[in-house]
Amino acid sequence: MLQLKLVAVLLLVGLVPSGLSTVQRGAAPALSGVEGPAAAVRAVDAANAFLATLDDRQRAKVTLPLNATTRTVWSNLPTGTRMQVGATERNGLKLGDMSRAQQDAALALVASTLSRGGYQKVTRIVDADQVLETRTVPTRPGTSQVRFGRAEYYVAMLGTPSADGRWMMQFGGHHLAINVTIGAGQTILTPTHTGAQPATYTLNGQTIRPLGGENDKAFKLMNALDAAQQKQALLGYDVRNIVLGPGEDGKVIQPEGIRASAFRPDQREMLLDLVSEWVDILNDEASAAKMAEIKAKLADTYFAWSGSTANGKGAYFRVQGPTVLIEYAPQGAGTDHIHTIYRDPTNDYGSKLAGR
Amino acid sequence: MMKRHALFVAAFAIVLAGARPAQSHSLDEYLQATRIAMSRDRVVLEIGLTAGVSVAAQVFALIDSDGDGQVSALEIESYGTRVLRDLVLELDARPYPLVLTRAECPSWPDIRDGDGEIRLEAVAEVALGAGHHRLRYANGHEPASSAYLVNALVPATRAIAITAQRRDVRQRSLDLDVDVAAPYAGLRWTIISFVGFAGLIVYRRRDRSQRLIQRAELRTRSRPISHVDLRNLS
Repeated sequence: MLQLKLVAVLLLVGLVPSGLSTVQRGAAPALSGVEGPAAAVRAVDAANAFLATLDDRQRAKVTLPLNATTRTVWSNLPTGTRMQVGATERNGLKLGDMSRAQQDAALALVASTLSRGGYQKVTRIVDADQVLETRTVPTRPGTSQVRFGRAEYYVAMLGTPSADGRWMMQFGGHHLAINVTIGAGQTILTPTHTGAQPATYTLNGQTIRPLGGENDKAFKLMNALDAAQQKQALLGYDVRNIVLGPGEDGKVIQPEGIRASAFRPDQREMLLDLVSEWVDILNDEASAAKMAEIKAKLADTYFAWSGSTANGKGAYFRVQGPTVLIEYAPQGAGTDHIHTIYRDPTNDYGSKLAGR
Repeated sequence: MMKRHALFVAAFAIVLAGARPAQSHSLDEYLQATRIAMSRDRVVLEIGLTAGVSVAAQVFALIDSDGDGQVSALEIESYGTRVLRDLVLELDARPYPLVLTRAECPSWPDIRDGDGEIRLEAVAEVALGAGHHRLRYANGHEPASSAYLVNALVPATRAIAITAQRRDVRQRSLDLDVDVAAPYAGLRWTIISFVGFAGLIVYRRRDRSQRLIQRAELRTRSRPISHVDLRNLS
């Protein structure tokens, strides 16, 4: 019996011959925990309620087939520009082409897939873009097709909404691409892009920072590292934008920085807290399952940093593990224009649900 | 006439660029992002070039060589070739020529708004044999106005492992240490393992057969002689 066990081990060694880490291989671990059908049912109900408010022409625009082409149509760019994948317009119908009741139903659909905090983050990003629109309108050249603002956010459904089948809800505009895939009792948020410009603004007398949590938690973690750990985390070169943004599906970059296996328990908690800023955009049941998956592979997760460690200055950071990639990149020299990306190299668009 | 038209387009471009006070992306940089994919026989470079609004006209002028405000297939191919001339790709200190395999250019309005991305793809044929290698990439295209990103993609095959990466502070260059396993190394281990497994099964079967024979012999030997004798007598 012992001999048989030895041979089984040998077989495993034969199948996995090199010393590559799980991240480098882009291994396909088990699916996120099944979080139950409640979230999927809520989303289907909200989708059908939204569809019921539309006329035939609008419904045809909102509903598209789910395939390898349609799902990739999203971007960080504003309306009026060609997206990275070549499309000139987002999927679906924009809020500006809906009645108030239709807008409410569309946003209810978005909210049904997200957590309360996630939905608030989304609305704050949209509000930031409305501020940008207000600021730029007076001096925008007449020839420019570029449009910012709340009216330019699109809602689309790819596939047929059902609790059992696989379908997607997309909500996006400038600096926002929420891609929620629903199927087999699971809800998946990757790939998702968030961003903000301005990154700080005032609304109703309140200072709003849509991505303030991401920024502050990252600086807190970086400053909790000791000198040797910081040295490992620092990339030693400038990073001016995210690497795996829109149009870069299916790619995995070579990980860099410090591995969380070298972190103290409190530092690991900080890292998880940082990651939760993206994961927790999704509804609570699904995000809990995803966080558990990331936590289980935390030792194989890298944290990399480029820029100042003083909060308030611009800094790029990246979290890269077997089932998560997060990038955060201020644009230009300042901190008032942020791009981020959240991916799962093993399960973007819920690819593990039913094959690609 | 053509020259005057070109000057007009360039001047118009600069006016538009200057007239736009708030843009969606970095203004004064020509962002050059390269992703490097390696396999045993080729190195593929995917290059995305995005001009910020303040430098858009300058970049567009490099591409739109006839100044008609449009980018023809020939013009973007020509520009792509020009970019490749400014790149260096070396494997183990030996330079490798790059061949342009794809060149796509957005329209002038997209470039003008600072959002259009020029996409190039180039390939170098290499022979990445088993052992340790050093790959060097350097980008010298438009250094005065550019910001750079360069990243290696995780190789599709487990036989190729990137063991170290070094960049300069601007990411104009990237040096990669690469270890390549012998071809079919994984398969060889798998075959060895299966052969070992099969051998063990055969061994165990033979062992079991021998033990059965031995047990049978033992039973025969221990059978009472009187009983056998009696039966034989009858």
